[in-house]
Amino acid sequence: MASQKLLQLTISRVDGPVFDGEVIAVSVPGVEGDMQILAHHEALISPLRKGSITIYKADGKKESHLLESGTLEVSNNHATILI
Amino acid sequence: MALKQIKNKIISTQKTGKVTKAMESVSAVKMRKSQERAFEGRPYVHAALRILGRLAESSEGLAHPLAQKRETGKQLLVIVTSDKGLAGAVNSSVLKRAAENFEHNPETDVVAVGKKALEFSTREGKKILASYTNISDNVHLSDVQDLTHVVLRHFTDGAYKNVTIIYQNFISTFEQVPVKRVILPIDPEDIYDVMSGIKPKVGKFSDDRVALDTKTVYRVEPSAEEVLDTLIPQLVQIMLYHALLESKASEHSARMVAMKNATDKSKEVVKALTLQFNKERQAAITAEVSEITGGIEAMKE
Repeated sequence: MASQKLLQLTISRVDGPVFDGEVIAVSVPGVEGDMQILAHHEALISPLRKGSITIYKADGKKESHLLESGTLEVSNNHATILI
Repeated sequence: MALKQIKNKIISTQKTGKVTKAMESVSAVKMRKSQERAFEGRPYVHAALRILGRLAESSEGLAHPLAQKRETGKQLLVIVTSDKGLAGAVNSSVLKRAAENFEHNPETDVVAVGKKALEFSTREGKKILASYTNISDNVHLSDVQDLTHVVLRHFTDGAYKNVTIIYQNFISTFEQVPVKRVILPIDPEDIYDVMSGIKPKVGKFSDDRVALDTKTVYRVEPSAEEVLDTLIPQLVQIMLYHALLESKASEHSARMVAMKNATDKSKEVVKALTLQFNKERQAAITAEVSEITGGIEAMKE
């Protein structure tokens, strides 16, 4: 999996960081439908609705987080999710 | 004073000293925790400010209703104090600031956080829109959720020209200053000030600056307005959350210092009393000895 392109992902909550690391992909509940963000996604800002975030980690494992609402920002292969 | 009385006074002073010493240690731990929590929120704030900064640069700019300045209306004042006293001038300086504010803006309604703020506002005869007391030291985001809703709802209704908050700003363990900030209508510059407020002047977190690079062109989905709709309430919430954290950190550090002074003073008093006790005892002994020798001399004759 050395050639696999990875995406930098940071998930933060007001009271502390939730996740920080490199992932293969992350799927989020956007206000206009679910989205999956892969490495080198175009720069994007979008609000998120209530739902769950699924992280596909580099080691093949999955991780989920619930959110009430939030904001997604992607730039320079770095995704930031504020929940 | 009789010997017995002095002795009792020494014992009670020592006991008081022990209590203040314990309060000092407890406050020290709580203060450190409050500070740590404030630092944990940093990454979030940076990201939120970055997004806001980029949106502000976009064509729509900050045309959001919550960012528009208003000319007329009343003022909504959020006063943050602690529930308990024994913390030096922490609360009184905030309330003094609030009283000054009332003089300039007689048309002010209040949201009180902390018992002291509530008592003060009631005394001043202000209209209290909401009050929050007994907020745990371990401030949780849910503690400010309701407060955020109240503030946003009243501001959106349009009766108020701005929402201002007064709280104790933590500068260092020995220095806290009351600050007054406008939270709504929102201003990115102000948010930055709020966030930088809690950082110490020197040390680990002192050079922590948000860089706003605006080179990237973003696709904003579905529209800048909708992003701001979710982002601005979040920012208001984090500002309130930080105000609460700062106020807690200030309260604990001020209490720590106040209790340290009290402990030192109790030691001083015990020392003075012990000296007095010894003098009195010596005087009693001397008197007794002279009585005995006087008695012996009398019997000799």
